This record gives sequence, C-alpha cells and structure tokens, in this order.
Amino acid sequence: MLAMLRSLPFRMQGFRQRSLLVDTTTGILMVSVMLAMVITLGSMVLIRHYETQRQLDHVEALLTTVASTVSIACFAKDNALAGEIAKGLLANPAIAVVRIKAGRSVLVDEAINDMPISAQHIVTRPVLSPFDASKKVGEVRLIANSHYLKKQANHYSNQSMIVLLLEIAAVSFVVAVMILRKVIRPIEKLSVGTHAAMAEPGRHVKVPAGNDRNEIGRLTQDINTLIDNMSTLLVAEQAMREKATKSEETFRALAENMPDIIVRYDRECRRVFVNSAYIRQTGTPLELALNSSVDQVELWRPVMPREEYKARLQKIMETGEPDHILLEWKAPSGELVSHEMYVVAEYDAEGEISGSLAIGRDITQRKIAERQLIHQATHDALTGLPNRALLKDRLGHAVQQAQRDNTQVAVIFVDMDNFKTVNDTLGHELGDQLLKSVAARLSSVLRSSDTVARLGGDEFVILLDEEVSVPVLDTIARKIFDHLSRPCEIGGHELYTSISMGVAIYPQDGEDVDMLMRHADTAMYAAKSQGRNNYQFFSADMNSRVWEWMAMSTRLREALEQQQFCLYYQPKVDLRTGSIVGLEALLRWRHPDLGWISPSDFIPVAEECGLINALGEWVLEEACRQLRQWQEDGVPEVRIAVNLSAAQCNSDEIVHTIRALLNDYDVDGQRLEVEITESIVMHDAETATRTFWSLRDLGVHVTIDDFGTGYSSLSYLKKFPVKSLKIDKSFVSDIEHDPNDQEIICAIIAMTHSLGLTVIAEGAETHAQLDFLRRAGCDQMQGYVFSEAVPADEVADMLVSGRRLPLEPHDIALRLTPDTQQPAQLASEGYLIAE
Amino acid sequence: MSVLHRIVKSCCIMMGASLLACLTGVAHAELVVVASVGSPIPQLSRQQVVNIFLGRYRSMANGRTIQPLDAALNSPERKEFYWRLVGKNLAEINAYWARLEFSGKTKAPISLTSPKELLEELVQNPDAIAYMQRYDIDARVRVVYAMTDDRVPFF
Repeated sequence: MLAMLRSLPFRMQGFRQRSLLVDTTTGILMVSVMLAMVITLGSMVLIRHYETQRQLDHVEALLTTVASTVSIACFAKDNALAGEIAKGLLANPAIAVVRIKAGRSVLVDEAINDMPISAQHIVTRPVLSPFDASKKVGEVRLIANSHYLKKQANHYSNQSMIVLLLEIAAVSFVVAVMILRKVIRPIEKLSVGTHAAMAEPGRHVKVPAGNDRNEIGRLTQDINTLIDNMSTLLVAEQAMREKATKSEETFRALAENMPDIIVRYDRECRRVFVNSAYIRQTGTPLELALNSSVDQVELWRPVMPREEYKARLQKIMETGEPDHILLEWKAPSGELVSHEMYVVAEYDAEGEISGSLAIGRDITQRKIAERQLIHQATHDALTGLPNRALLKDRLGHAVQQAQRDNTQVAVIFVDMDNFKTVNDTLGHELGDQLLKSVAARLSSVLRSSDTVARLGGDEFVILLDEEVSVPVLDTIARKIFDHLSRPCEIGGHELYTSISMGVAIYPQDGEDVDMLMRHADTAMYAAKSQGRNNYQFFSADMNSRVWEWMAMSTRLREALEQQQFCLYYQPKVDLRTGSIVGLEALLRWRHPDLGWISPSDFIPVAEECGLINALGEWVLEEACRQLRQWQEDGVPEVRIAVNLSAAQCNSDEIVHTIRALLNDYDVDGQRLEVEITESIVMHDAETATRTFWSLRDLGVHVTIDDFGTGYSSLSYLKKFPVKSLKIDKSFVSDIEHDPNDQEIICAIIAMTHSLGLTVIAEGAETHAQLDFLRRAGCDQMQGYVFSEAVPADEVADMLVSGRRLPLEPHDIALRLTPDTQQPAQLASEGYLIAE
Repeated sequence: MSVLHRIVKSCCIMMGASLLACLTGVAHAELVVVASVGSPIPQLSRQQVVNIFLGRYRSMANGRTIQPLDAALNSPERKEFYWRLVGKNLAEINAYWARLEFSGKTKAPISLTSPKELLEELVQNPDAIAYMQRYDIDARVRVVYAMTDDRVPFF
C-alpha cells in the first residue's frame, strides 16, 4: 500500500504538469498522514492499555492506602468500618464494586448503581491481621469500572492522539518547509533557469544562491557544461545538415549538369533514377524511363541484346564487384551512340544490395575514332584495300578454316614491274593514281569472297579461299593479266602496267601464314627474274634463285654504306689523234666475300629496289671527286662521262645535284659529261629539255647513249643541247659480218656530223673494226681494242704517260673537227687530211 | 513476616530481654492479664487476648461479652502490654481504635488511670479484664493470661 501511495505523485503527473513543490508537499503530507494514522492507532491502543493498567495500579494503590483500615475492619469484623471503607473506595470512579470479606462472612459488597458489571478488571487482595502479618483475616475484592476505565483511557488516548497528530503535523510541516527551502526551491529555480536557458542557445543557468558548493551547484555546473556541449553539437549538427543539404544540392547540380548519363536501377533492373543527360541522349522522356525495366523493347534499341545487359547488371548486383560495360544504341537521330558504362552495386542501410548505379560516359567520338583507327590500321590509306596486318589475319583464319574443311587456300603476290619508273618519271601523284587504278582493277577481277590487299609500295597480295585449284588459279591469273594489260589513262598519259605474280597454295606450298607468304613472294621474284610480266607457281627450287635476288638487294645497300663500289674508267680515244679524249665511268662492285659482282647482275636489282638513284648520285659524286683529285695530282685534264638513268633525267634534281657537286669539289662543268639513253629522252620531253639546257648551262656535255636502239625522234635531237652521240655496241660488234650495220654506222656518222655533233663508237674490239670506224670517219672510239675499263690509277697513268692509240698515219685520213687538237702537227706527222 | 525475619527478631528480643534483665535486675516484672476471681472468663490464649483487647471477638461461650480495660494512657504498662501483645506502639493502637471507633461498632477498652482503679472495676464487673504488672495484682483477681513468653520489649 505504501508503494502504491508513493507512486501516486507520479501517477498524478500523468494528468497534468505538476510541480515538484506540490508533489513533495503532497507526498510529505500523505506520508505523514499515513504515518500519523498508523502511529496514533498504535499509540491509542498502547495508551489505552497502559492507561487501564495505570488505573488498575491506581486502584491497587488505593487498596494499599486503605489496607490498614481494611485489615482493622476485617480483624474487628466491623461492617460499618468496612462499609465506610467501601464507600470511600467507591467514591473513586474507577471502582465499580467493592467486596470485603472477613473470613467467610461478607462484610460489605457494594457496587455503584446502574453499572453493568463486567468482570474484566478484578483486583483481589488478601487482608492481613494488623497484628499478625502472617494471618489472613479477610479479603478485599475490587471490580474496576471498565466503562470508566475505558472512558478515561479513551480520553487520555484521544488527548495524546491529538497531541501526537499535532506533533507529527508540526514535524511534517517543518520537514516540508526545510525540504522546500533547502531542496525544492533551489531545484525549482534550477528547473526554471534551465527552461529559460533552453530558449536562448548557449545561455548559462545561474546557480541558485547559496548552493555553490553542494550537489545543486554541481548539477548547475553540469547543466551548463551540457548546454555548452549541446550548443557545440547543435552548431556542428547544423553545419553537418547544411553540408548534407549542400552536398545534396551539389549532387543534384552535378547529376543534372553532368554530360555523363546517370541511371540507377533497382534489384529487378528497373530504372529508378535518370538524369537529364540520359533523357537527352536516349530521347526517352522521364515518365517513360522511370520504373521501366531494361527488358522493355519500346524504349531503346541497344546493340547488345537486352538480356545480356540485364544479365550483366544482375551479375554486378550478385557479386558486388563493379564492371565496365560498353553500351551502344541508336539515338533518335539514327546514329550510333556509344557509352562506356561504369556500373557499381548500391547498398541500403543494412548493407544489403538495393540496386545498381550506372554512370555512362559518351565515347561515341572515341569509338568512331577507334573504328577509324582500326580501319586505318588494317587498311591501306591510298587504295582502301586491307593492309598487311589485316591480310595476315584473314590468311590465318582462312588457313584454319581450310585445315578444318580440308580445302585449299591460294596466296598470290602481285608486284608491278615498272612502277618505280613511272613514279620517278611521272611523279608521285600520278604514281598514286596508277596504284589506285591497279587496285581497283584487281578488285574488280576477283570474287567478293577473295581479298585483295596492298602490302606496300607496289606490292599487292590476293587471298583466295574458295574453290581454289590450279586450273581456277590459272584462269584467274589470266584474267588479271588481261585486265591489267589494257592501258590506263593517268593524268593524260596512257600507261601500260606490267606485273609479276607469284602463287603459293596451302597446304602444299606451306602450312602456315608466314611460309605461304614467303613462298608466294619467292614465286613472284622468280616471275620477275624470268623476265617479268608473267606469273609463276611456287616450286621448291625457286628458293635459291630468288634468295639470291633478295640477298642482292640487301648487299647492294650494304655496298653503298660500306663503299664497296668503285668507278672504273674506259678511255675514249680520238680515232684521228689516238689520244684519250674522255673517260666513261663505269660502276664496279667489289664484294668483300663474293668478289666482283657483275653490273648485269646488280643493276636490275638496284632498279627494282629503288637504289638506282642512290647509285647514280654516288657515281656522280665519285666522278667529281676523282676529277678534283686528278687536278690536285696534276693529271692531265680529261672529261669523265657518267651514265644517267631515266629517273635522274626526268627531274630537275639532277641539275641541282650536279651543280652542288661541281661546287663542292670545285670542278669545272666542262669536265663532266652525262650519257643518256635515247629512249629516256622520249618520254618527258619538256622536263628533259629543261634539264639538259640547265646542264648545258653548267658546261656539262650531254651524250646520247645506245644511239640507234630506241625509237628516237630526230627533231628532239635538234632541241636538246646534245654534244655527241654514241653508237650502240651492237652495231659495232657486227661491222665485220653485217653490211647492214656498216651502212647504219655510216649513216649515223653522216647524220651526226651533219648536225654538228661528235660521234663515238662503243665496243670496238678488233683492229678490223677499228679500221672500219676510222675509214668511216667516226670521231671517237671506246673499246677493248684500246683499253677495257680500268681502275682510276691505271687510267691516270695512261693519261700521265700520254698513252695513245697507235695509228698508221698513212692509213688514216683525218678529218678535222673542231675537237681535233693541233691539226698542223697532225699534218706534219703524216696524217692525211680529208676535206 | 518471613520466617527468617521472625527468627532474627526473636533472637534479638531474647538477647535484649536477657540484657534488660541483667541491666534492670528485676526478675519478676511481668505483665499479666487478670480478671476477677468470680468472673466466668476462662484462661485465655494469647490470640484470644489479642481478639478481646483489639475488639475482634469479645463474646464468650456463655453469650456474655468480655470488656477489656486499658491502663492509663501513655502508661508504661499500656505500652508494654500492646507491644508485647501485637508489637505495636500506642500511636498505632490509638490509630487503630480511631478507625474502629469511627464506625461505632466496636469500642476501645475503657482506660483507667491506675491499677487500683482497674482492680476496683474488675471486682465490680465480672466481664472485665485488665492488664497490669504482676506485683500490682491482689487476691481479688486472677491471672487469665501471662505475658512471659512473649516478645521482649524493645523501646
């Protein structure tokens, strides 16, 4: 019950806000009331008991006072006395009945009237003889007045109860006041102060007066500390909230302004968030995009199957590992849009997977560039044909497939024979156009399943992997030749293309890509060495020949670098005077291991490899150097003639080169001569004319070489500043046997003279030839009959020693030409002077 | 009184009595209770003497009432008598009679001034008894009770 009462204040709190003051007061009051009740009840009982006891004691005391008289009365058996005594006793309100007995007889038995006698309180005392204490003479019996006793007890107890209550009340009051003042008030002040401080952040609570040192004071300090902490926390929380809001805004701004697309999917791969970039780039409006699954067909047209994308999203969500996905789809405009999606799994507050977040960077341009690059990497820029890399790849696949299907694959190497010439003569632009034309023609001849690739330069490779057999290849080869043999019109020129083709077949000619290509290449070289303009099937014995061919080109390069070349000089002698009038510089190659390599072996290869120009320049430079050297050494002056190739003639470069060389070596242009075959001249007359005139300006002589062998237009001879003509050795060698050649030679000599040019015969080996040439009136001669081509030292010796062709003066009718030296001396030496 | 107490008291009294006997040298000073020779009052026991003199029982077997007589007030005989009889001093006896006389039922013994008067009264009244020193008695009375074996007075 006590507990219930104690809880009452708290229960009352539920009804209304109460104050501690009221509660405490109420509490104290209630407790004290209860206590008072209990105590007073208890004390009432106790007091009554004790009061009754007291009254009884009093009664007994009374008895004691009348004891002597009673004993006398009993002793004397005096009723009257006893009566008096009884009366006296009964006067006491506490006594209800008195009975005095003396011995057996009752002396007196008095009772108060109208009293119900309850035999509760009976006091009996023996009466002793006043003269003999050992003798009992009677008995006194008193019955107390219970009613009176009760009344007295009640009265007394009521009195004391009131007093007690008053005491308790007073104590409670005092306690309450003390608690109020000492505890409640300060607490109240503290409560009010704290409440007020709540309104103003950071405000401290004042310590209730006088409580600095005690618990209240400490509580106040603690509250103030808490206030400070809370202020700090609030400020921090505010800052954090602002930060969160800010970052939320920043995120929003970021997400919305980001060019990258952001998509969030839930666990079922439905879109739950898309940013504006997404809406723009997919053309899907927000309402449609949200909550639609990636499976749905209407919304987007991805390149990757939708199921695959969904499966990948699910895998990311399962494993929790992020992934990159290349996602491409058709934009509303129809173009292909590529995005690189970086997808991560998203987690909820419990750490469970809640979905995925995909951020996509637009890599369309990059992809386009990539694809272009790939195309560039796999295709030839000029012709658009596949390049070496792509070819090898396709060849590899074709071989694998053929291995599985047990079929054949053919590789054809196609090389343009005269491309370098054309490129050099007509220039790179036209050369490119020629390449493109050839490429187009090749493609048109072949089937769609075949591949035509350009390996580089003027090399093409054809890959055939369907229905490959020797007859089929034969047919195809013939078709190619037919097609390409028709001239193509390039830049106003009609060009004929000649090609060499080499064919290798899988599996018989090789089982892997490299071997097949090598053998096709070998076959192609074999075709070249067979005179070009044909095709060859690979055979095992081709290897050595072609290997040679290819080795030669490598060696040539080395030779140039390592100065394995040297010039031999063949003297040209004047047929009248017999003296050396000039030297033809001839290129000789001495290989350290292989010895002398014949020009007929390496010149074609040089032409093929494009080294011919380098060689030509080297020759020119060496000639100039030699001239300088001889000048230094005091060797008699002589003109060196150098052979120029078509390439060199048809560009202005040669002029610059020669001018530079003449400058560098400080050689007079007159000392240099160029020999050019007549066919060269015919091609690009304009540039050639310009070149020759420029050379003429430098003082360089121009000689037409191999005259008579080409289709010459004689009018050109007029235009060009030619100094001399060289009769081809083929005419000279047959002088003795072929009267035609004799006639031709005479005719050439006549014509040359009529043009005012010098004529020189090349290749005179016998005296008879020599004789004829002399008689025919040829001006100069170059041939073994005098000297073969010899090294510089030897020829220098010849020059120094003044070696000359031995002449029979009387056999020779001299015809004076502007070149003839010392004609008077000649006459004096017995030479016939012809008119 | 307790037994021990009584024993001690008896011894003291005996010692005191013997001492007093030695001191006073009086051998036969003794109180006796007498009645006339012609009185029908028998020999009395001590208790009967007590009852009579103190008003408890005064009736005789033959229906007559015994009348006790006191010696003179404050006389030595009176003192000794009551002392020896009930161990009370005269004040106490007076107080006793004061109370009893209040009710009127029982009267105190009449007190006479001298033994002579007492003797005279005794002769006159055959129902009366008195006490006196043995040496005071004459032939007209007879002893009904002698107080020799009682307590030694201790004043």
